[in-house]
Amino acid sequence: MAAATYSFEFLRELARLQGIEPTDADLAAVQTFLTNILPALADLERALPADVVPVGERVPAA
Amino acid sequence: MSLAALAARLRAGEVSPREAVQSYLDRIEEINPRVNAYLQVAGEQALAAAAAAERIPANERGALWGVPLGIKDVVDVGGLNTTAASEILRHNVAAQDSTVVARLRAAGAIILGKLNTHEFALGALTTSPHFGPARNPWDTDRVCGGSSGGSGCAMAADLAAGTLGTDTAGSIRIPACFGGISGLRPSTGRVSNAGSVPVSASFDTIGPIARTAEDCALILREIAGSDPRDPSTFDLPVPDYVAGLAGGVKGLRIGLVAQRFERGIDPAVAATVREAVAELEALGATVEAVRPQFTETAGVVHQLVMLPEAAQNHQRWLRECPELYGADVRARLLAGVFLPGTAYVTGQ
Repeated sequence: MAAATYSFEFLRELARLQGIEPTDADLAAVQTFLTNILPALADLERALPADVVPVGERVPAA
Repeated sequence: MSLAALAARLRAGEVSPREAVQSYLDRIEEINPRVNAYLQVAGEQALAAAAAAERIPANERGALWGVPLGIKDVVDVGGLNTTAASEILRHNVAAQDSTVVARLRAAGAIILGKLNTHEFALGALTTSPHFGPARNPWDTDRVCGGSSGGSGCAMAADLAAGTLGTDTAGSIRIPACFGGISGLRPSTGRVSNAGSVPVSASFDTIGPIARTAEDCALILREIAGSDPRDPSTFDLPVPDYVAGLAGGVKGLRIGLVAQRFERGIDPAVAATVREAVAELEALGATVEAVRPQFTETAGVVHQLVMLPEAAQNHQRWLRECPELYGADVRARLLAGVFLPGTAYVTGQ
């Protein structure tokens, strides 16, 4: 997942669809955040053992 | 003087609640302009509460009878503003006490006022552009951590006998560290969040920042427990945290997270922690290195869950009045808006 593909225009449109109008400074901060967090998220997903499921998908033992 | 020592002097009649309150009000008037720990001081209300406390028969007085406390300004105190150090909530008057404040009052505590915080408790600096920074009493050119920076500042400057903070990502622990005092983040569900401004339901918890571990135990013992106003609280008995301190650390097994010492740690911090370990061992504890899974990725996981929850809490204001946020807080919230839903679930 390459965060660099998230251009200002893309992020601004995504925000607009949610009724939010960020400034250029906001988008620059978000872009930096995504550039750092998305590769970390990808690493995390690769590191998760196959038997780890999200908490919401856990079914209590009968 | 510690909260425990003041409570004992109050019970012994060596000092009255009104004298205790007035003493803190005098000190706040003198020192607060230099450190900005308090955003509101409820002097008249505190003195009236102290006078009322003095009319309570001795056998009906709670453990915190007459003890003056400060409350982080994201936690409701009925009749006072809950601003969260934000422009958006600048004129927000709390209609009733939060559960924790009601419990503190039931134990006899007296509320001095509301304490500074990072805007909406969404940062670790306590540098609100709307209400000004809380300054570290040890060196007023430095920050006092956050987000409960006003609470840490008030304790370091002796502007209350104890305080409440909140912690979502270190907001009790960081200012306690920066102020050289004690703070405790309870487990989520142990203390009710009812009547507080939320950051993230998965991580928010209210807890004490005070001078000593015993003082934290005294406060936690009163505020802990299930609450019908907050369904996330556990219906479990509340231990006597104060009595639990009597045995010291002898016989305890304490885990030392090994990964934290392998990279990115300041040598001075590492040396200080090692000194603490030696002290704990000298007092009879066993300290063992442990390697918890996912320690390196815990920060990422935390952000994946916390930021979308925070963004959801603020969505209406982000749409209607984004210009009223400080730039750092708005950017943090927007980061939560842009994280994919799958990231949130992976984080959980």
